[in-house]
Amino acid sequence: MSVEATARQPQPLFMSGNEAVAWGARLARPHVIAAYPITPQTVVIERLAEWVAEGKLDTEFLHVESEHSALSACMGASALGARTFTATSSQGLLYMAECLQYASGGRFPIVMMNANRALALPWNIYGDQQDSLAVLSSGWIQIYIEDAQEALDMTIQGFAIAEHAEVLTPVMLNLDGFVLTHTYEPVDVPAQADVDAFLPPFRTPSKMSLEAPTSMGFTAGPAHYTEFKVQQHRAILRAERVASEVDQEFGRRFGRSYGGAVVPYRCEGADVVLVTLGSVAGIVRETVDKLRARGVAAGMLKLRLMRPFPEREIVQALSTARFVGVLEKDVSFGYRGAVFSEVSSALAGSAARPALLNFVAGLGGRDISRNDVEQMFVELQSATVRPLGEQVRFVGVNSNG
Amino acid sequence: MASPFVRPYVRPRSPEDYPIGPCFTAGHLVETNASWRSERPVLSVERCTGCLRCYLACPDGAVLRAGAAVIGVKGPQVDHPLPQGEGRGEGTALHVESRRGRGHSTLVTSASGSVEASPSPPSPSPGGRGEIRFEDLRLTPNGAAVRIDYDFCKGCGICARDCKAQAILMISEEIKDVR
Repeated sequence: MSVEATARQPQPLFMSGNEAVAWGARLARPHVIAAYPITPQTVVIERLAEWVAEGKLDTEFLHVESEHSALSACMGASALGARTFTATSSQGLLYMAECLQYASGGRFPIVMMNANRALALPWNIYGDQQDSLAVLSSGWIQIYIEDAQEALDMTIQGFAIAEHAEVLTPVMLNLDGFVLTHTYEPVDVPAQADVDAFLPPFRTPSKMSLEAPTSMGFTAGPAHYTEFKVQQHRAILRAERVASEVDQEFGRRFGRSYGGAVVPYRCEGADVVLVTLGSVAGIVRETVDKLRARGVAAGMLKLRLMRPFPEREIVQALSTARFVGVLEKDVSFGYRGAVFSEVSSALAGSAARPALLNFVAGLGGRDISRNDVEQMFVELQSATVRPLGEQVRFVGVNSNG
Repeated sequence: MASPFVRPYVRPRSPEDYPIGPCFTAGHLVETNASWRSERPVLSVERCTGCLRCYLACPDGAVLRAGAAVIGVKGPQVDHPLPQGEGRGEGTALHVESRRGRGHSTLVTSASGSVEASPSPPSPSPGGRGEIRFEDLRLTPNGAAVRIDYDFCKGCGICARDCKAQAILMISEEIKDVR
């Protein structure tokens, strides 16, 4: 089947975050897509399936019976040298948990979109970040996305990062459920030819074939397992530099780049900085502007990568801040937010000793309002170095008061 | 199928010496693997019809087509399970107790134990894939269509169970001298 290559759309198309991911995946020309629909990711799968049915996308679309099978199928295809894409969310991500480690340990450069959604119980289909942060240690590169254009562009960049010879590690693209997946925005769709030129065909170093048969996924006992893990760890660490290079090259070719692992916003000379990730960054940025206009030295540090974790950039960006808050839609029950733990850990190696607070908000899809964010900055400014165990704030908890 | 050979083991010195992920050339053997075998299959050349059921059934690839090439030079052999005779393909009569309760059977195997099969076996190719011709697959006057690789046979007995011609018997490894 030959597919007519799409030209660059003369006008931006009006599309949702999900559709932007689907467009990115389409332009990356994966050989195999294996996925199971789940709210709020479903539209990604629907659009890709429609394009395959209409002959607009030449790919092997596998309708699998579960997320576990989806990722397993992607691994099998990747072992044959195929470019593979999948997408999931929440319970689906956890259902494929076993395969997540398998894919990263097997060094299969699969790209997966995850629609960030709450975890049961109670059952809840709305957005938060508990799902992806629960699998932070699964060996996947984790990228958090703010808007629909970035979603399209990062789906393309995701393949370039994952398949890079120095990386060969799967990539998880995280989009806030509904807030980003279902919000419509104008999105520039690049020409197929330009994407082809940016993204060369995937060349696996260990292709399974009849000509050169290989043993894949073999055992390594205590004498050798550690070395495979050291190698895997070094590869994902290299992804930070590679992601930055890929982003710069993308910028040269398409006129859009996103700034590497972290994006500081008005952090220079900032006294009070809120660290966050995902789509809520928009509202935090607005609040920073508002506070700056009032003379408050506020800033925001947006994390784009959670793995590999950009420790040095975080320490550098927060070097002047006396008050640092971390806003995340997640809590690691029994301690604090996973992102807060990581940021605190990075700052432990820094000369700066800012007062730290953790704002846990947006769980199960609860809105984070402008007022909420402004209150966070207000609370931060009056923060002192808290005793252990008193750093976590659940934002907007219903009360009788 | 060409049989892989045992190569010397080179110990990796650093993580860089390992493959990227657990993936490596198939059939890279650094040791034989048959020490846990408690019974060994013994093939009757007279009874073997050359149907190749055992070849297909063996879960370990330890039943080889007699004409197939062995790549390179094999490493150290385990103790040969069958008594050495003189004269190739002349056959040695063996009287063994059948495990299946069929009473005494007379097995005839070639003197070397591993039967030489086709009149013109394919020569090993550099790529390790001997060219297989139809003639190689059939029973030849002097031997069976298959031979058993005792370096890798685990003694599971699937070949003996599957053999319709009852040409394979499992014999205890404690019986060293089969007479």
